[in-house]
Amino acid sequence: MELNHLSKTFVEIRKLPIQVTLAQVKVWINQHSNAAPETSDYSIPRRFFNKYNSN
Amino acid sequence: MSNESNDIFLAWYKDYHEAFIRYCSTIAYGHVSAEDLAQEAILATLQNFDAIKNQSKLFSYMVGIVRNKVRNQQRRKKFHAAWNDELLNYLKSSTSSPEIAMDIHIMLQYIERLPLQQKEALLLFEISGFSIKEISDIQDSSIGATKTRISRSRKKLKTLLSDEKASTSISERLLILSSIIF
Repeated sequence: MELNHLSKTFVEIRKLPIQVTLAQVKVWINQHSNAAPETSDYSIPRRFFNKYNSN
Repeated sequence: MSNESNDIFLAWYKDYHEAFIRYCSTIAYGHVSAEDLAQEAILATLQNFDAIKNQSKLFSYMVGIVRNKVRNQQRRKKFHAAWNDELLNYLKSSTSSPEIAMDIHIMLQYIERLPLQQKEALLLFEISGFSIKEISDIQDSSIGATKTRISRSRKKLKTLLSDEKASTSISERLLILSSIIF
């Protein structure tokens, strides 16, 4: 596979339909908001979390 | 999370949706479903949305969650090139020819072998369409380092694919193709 073939394959990948719709994301968010706290644990380790709160 | 927070989150997220789902679909090709990966990252980001003060880092945060999930998955289960019927059916039904489906399948398998940060930079650039500057912000690295990662990943990928072409026999390629066609 040559380099231009590589680029063409990337173009073909970008043409693929996306596997999750925005409507599906909205459903997840609604379900997550309505779920009991103990069933919606997406807690993140503190060290990881702090990294994204630094400037 | 209040409905208001959900709405604010969605208003922020919708502009990233396509880029993020494309990224999830390729970063863990064959060993984690894009849906699982995206769901976990989106909900974790939503849960911490109010607490993350620097909103410009939200996407970086989401990619970080994906990175950790992929890393954990790789530790648990080495990728094996077994045919995944669901993925092949998806490629078969979404491309104009079986040859293109095979090229995509083979290339994503080889991308899987790249070091995680190189793979991440390459996919954010080639598949999600982010700029070098945006990727350097997402990866918290310099522009030079990002360019190097993308360049190295392309070279490595080219080498892997050339080796693949030389080492994969016609019968093996036919086997892949027939898995896609039938």
